Amino acid sequence: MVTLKDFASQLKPEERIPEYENDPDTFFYKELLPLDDAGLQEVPVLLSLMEDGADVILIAFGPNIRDFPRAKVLTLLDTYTLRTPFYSFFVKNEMVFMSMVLNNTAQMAVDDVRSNLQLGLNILLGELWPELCALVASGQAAN
Amino acid sequence: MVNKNQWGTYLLAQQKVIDVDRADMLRYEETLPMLSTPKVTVLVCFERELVYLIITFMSSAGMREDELLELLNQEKNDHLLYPVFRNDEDLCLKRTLYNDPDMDCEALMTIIELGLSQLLNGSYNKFNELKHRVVS
Repeated sequence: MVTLKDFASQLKPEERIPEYENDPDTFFYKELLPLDDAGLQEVPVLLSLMEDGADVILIAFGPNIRDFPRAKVLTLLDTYTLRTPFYSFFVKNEMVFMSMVLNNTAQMAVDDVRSNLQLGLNILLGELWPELCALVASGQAAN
Repeated sequence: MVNKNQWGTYLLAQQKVIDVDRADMLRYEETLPMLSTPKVTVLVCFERELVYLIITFMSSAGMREDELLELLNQEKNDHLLYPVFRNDEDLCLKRTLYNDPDMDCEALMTIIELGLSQLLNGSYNKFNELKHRVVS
């Protein structure tokens, strides 16, 4: 079973956002994802636990969709929500968000939570986002 | 840990109506009398270490697409535990769980009931209003 304290204690210094670590129920940290050019992409993630600790909830902040046609974005995010068991994709403040909920079983470890989240981020940034960009580009070409 | 046979036996003991019974999944009906369409279906799928729940509660046929997409998005914002989505024309809630050693049929039913209570506490009415608005 994962606690916020366990989670925070296993983060590397570069993944921490110290100014957001004071809340007892929730905190922000950064997932650092490798890019093709050997750089790193920072994805802010909000982590919280249900009051009884039964569920772990993570919300990752994705790309901005300000210039994208909203209906296409919402349709695609809904399709991906249907397709992926643990994840839900939605728009808030013109950004794509991904939420993930895991039941916090006795066997659950911090690495399990993070590897599940990273799988979701790979879907968001490696599949959904390129598909959305291609959709928008094809729409522009048609116009 | 719950398997499909235990779940089927439990549902029968609870006098639930099972409408689909396949190798790794069971679908049954829940009756929620306070809804205008009181029958919703609950699909429970057992696959290796996971249990998938999908509660199908309404058809989106006839709803305005732009309003429907906005409401689906807002509901995903508001209800992280049981996100709402569209599958073909059906509107559904989902939840995926690890079928952990402590899981039993009662615990699984409690998790389903939490999803049903999200419907009863407003999600259903919001979509029903959309449907009604188009019809009227």
